[in-house]
Amino acid sequence: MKLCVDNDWLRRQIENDPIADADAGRVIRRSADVVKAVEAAAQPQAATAVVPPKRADAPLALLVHMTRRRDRLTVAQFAERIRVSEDEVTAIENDPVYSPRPRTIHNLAEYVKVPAKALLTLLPDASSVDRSLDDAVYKFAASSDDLSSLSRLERRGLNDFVKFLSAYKRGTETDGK
Amino acid sequence: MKETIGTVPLFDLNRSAHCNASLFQGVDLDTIKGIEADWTPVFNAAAPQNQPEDAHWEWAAKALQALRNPLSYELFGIEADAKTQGMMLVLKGGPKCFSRHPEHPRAPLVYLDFLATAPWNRPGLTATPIYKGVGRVLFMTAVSVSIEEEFAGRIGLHSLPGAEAFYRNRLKMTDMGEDAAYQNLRYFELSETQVKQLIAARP
Repeated sequence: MKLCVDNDWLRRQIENDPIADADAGRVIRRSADVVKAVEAAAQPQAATAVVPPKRADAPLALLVHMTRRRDRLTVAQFAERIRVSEDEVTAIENDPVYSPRPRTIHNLAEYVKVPAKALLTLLPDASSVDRSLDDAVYKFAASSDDLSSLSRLERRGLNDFVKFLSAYKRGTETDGK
Repeated sequence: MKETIGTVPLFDLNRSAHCNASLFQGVDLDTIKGIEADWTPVFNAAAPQNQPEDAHWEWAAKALQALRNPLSYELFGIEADAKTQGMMLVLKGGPKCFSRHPEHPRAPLVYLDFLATAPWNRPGLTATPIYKGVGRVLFMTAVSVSIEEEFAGRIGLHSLPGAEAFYRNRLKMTDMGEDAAYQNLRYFELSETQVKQLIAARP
């Protein structure tokens, strides 16, 4: 392996660095700490299991939640509007790994006025790596907060995201661009 | 298992001069033994409740040998005066290796699982640290790994409280705030733009 900077660069920077701690991550005090860290690193899947996904990581949950708040509907009222059960709306909003039935996606797409294909890209098991979709989801998630009614910023975030989904053509295809 | 990458500079604070150290990749029995023999007693002196149980280094070395997996992580260390001056474990894959930075959300990055400097180099533990630069060299090694992995130098880490100023002010990383999922340590990222600025930086 080759360093991305040379030793002259390192000397100049180190000379100007303050005398300061630089420790990060796990606390290492003995060899056993190193072993524990490497054991965990060798099993990344185990780490996945203990990190619960958040609503912000589940764009469909966020979209449903924000739309419902925008329209000032309870879960029961929203379920009635999109002709699905209350339990399903609750599951979509609260379980980031829940994958709704195709009919629910269809009805939801009709209500939000976006193509159903675009909503499929928001499912937890969608294989999308589309950068433009990721960016739109991130902006949308960043604009939201759990207040009782939508702020102007949240409303704009929701509108932008719905507009993006309406124009989104790729469905679940991925091209990485 | 342990391979020397090259000679890197450190700053000897007693002599006020640069000196040479060895940067290596991987770990061997001597490194593990050295951490137990040299680091642990100093930490134990600072925190007496943390006493050693037995010769941990022996089983630790064996365990590390069995766990070698260069696809998911890399271990690095710096040696000077025949002692390990610092160690770092970087992850190249797994749930922590995705960016949270608004510049490139979910882009892959190298995550610093730990960056640890020897207790005698830590101003938080000793009034007269011996070497300066261990953290800087190890951090730039992580950036190099990230570039080699085609992650454009992107780095993520959770800073220990005493090191936040170093990552925020000297390395110009983005402070993404406290992470409730990681003992409320502050999470920092070096974005692609920041990588370029860092490498181009003049002191």
